[in-house]
Amino acid sequence: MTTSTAILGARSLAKRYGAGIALNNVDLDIFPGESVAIMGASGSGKTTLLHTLAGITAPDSGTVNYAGTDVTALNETQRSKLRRESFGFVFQSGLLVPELTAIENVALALMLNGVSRRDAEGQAAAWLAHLGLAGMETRRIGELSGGQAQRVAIARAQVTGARIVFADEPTGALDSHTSADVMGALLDATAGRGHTLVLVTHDPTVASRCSRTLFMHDGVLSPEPPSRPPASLATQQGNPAAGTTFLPRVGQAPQEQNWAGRP
Amino acid sequence: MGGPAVNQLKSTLSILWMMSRPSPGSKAVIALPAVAFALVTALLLIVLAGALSFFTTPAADDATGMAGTYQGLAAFAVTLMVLPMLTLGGSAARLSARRRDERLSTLRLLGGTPSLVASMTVVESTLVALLGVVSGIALYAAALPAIALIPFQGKPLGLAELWLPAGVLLIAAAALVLLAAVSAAAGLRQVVLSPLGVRTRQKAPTVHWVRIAIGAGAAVVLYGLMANLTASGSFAAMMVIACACFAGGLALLNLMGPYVLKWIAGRQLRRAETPVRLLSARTILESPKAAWRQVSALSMTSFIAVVAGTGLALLSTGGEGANPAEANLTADMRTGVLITVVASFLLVAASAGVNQAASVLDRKDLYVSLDRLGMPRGVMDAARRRAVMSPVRIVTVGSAAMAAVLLFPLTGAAVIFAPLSLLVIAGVLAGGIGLVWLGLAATGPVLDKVLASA
Repeated sequence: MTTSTAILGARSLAKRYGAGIALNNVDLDIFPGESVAIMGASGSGKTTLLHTLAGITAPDSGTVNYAGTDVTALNETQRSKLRRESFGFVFQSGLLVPELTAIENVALALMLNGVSRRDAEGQAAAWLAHLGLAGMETRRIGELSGGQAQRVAIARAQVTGARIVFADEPTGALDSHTSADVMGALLDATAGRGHTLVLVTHDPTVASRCSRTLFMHDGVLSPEPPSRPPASLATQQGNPAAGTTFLPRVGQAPQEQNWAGRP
Repeated sequence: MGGPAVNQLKSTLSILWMMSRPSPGSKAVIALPAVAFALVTALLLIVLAGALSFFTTPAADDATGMAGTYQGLAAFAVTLMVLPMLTLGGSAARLSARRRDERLSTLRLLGGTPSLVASMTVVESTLVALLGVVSGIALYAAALPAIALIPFQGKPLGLAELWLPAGVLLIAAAALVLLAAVSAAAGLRQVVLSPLGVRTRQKAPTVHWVRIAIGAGAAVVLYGLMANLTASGSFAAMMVIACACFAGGLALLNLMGPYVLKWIAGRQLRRAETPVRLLSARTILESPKAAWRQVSALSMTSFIAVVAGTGLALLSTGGEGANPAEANLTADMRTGVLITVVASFLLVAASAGVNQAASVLDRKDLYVSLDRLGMPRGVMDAARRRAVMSPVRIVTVGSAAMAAVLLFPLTGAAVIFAPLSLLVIAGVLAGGIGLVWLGLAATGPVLDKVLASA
């Protein structure tokens, strides 16, 4: 039996917005190569959890540890640097820069880390081609479909070689067919390469494609849906990790590969 | 009696009341265009008051016989200020309408009739403009004591001369409110025609090279007219041709300006090695016409500043034999040029500041997402500022250089004989660029607030 070290760990996370409890003593370990879906109703705290894990939001108390770094102890500038260099993000509506072309949007992530434009665009083109967008490099975002724009966002999230990608409702604005395509591309670009995916979704179909599903209810994180349906949703969806144990998780972490931003 | 019209008005007012309730960001929706209208009103009234003060001197009191010269120069200065004032007024009106696009599109999608949407737009924008105009009148009154100290004809302008008659105040205010109403109606035609229109922005608008071809042809015609100015015989005909050429020159600048900015931004884009340069070049290329519109006033101001500055510099070198009235005229022309240049930059700074603040609010989601990706705030700020400052520098320095080249023998002489006068003009232009920079820097807290609120 092998023991894998969590790439991202949270301990006793708490966060309140006024009278509302967004995070209530949340503990979580996420391991390299995992794809973790966090489900929950609107206002359950799932997006707050994602933002806290990603160093976007500071918790009221508790700690987040990423690869040995206490994220909660970093100041805003340091957290910004960490997000830029180590994390990737995919948002619901892409939120790409509309003035830039597809290739420039992807290259921008590398240029922010000091990569020359020539090299950045070379790597961006490779990622776009890998995600089926060859020939669309010079299109502006308004000229792409919703699914294509999300693929550009996926390329942007992984072009830096980020070991963790945080996705907030990445398929929320897409039809079911496109949603399945985009989810496939997202998993292939992240967990498929030994990287880690943490996503927030309302969609059980999307969650079912992840290796583990967790549920948020009133700020409490649980491996089971709050209403305890007849059969565990995650188990129904063929997810052996969910519904069993989620902290700590031992063994079976996929071997991480050093893709260094290459598709 | 008057059933449908009254019902329409009632519906408009009741929905307007519902939609005017405070909501997150709603203060900015009203405040930004209102501030823009207040600034344009105050500056318009100050410029009008300054110019009209030269027309109020009774002929009997015109001991120097120079009243006509002063009046002509004042009229010319007002003409120069019309373009930047229209730019700020127009951007205030567009801003007023644009900030409502989303809510009104939603209303249209819910089944609001085109006439309901149109009337709401006009009523709402007019009310905001009215609020701004009233604040602008107060601002004008507050600024008068300081303006009254500026010396002309050897003595301060004086408070009494600068206080505009109530009739002029009313006409100016009504004109601005009307401008707001017309711009709002025109700007929202798209929403009325297609509810989804405002959300579907696909290809960047193009600026065709044919502008340069037409511009070059027109420039040859204008040059020919100016070269043969004296051939027309009468002084009146010469003045008409000179004025037509001046107006033609302005039109020419506006025709070719967007293409020139597009060309330069295209070069900047190809060479962009940093995120700031990439983002700013793409922002200009997104709409070269809008980028030009914002700074176009500076092209003529900068050109005139160098032409007039050179002329005044040379006049001042041969001033020993001039009588006191002529010496006053030279000094007053210098003051007038400086005021015109500073006021133009002030208008552009106000317009750029208001537009940038609105742009940050409009693109809130994008800025927040870039922050989450780890883009430093300084990069976002620098990119949006460079997108304005780059055209400002190109237009100001380019126009000044063009004027210097066209008048080369004279500018050369001025550099040798009166370098100080030219340095003052250069300093004022540099200060003007600094004013626009400050106008943009003032919008920094808006970005901070947007990022902090996420």
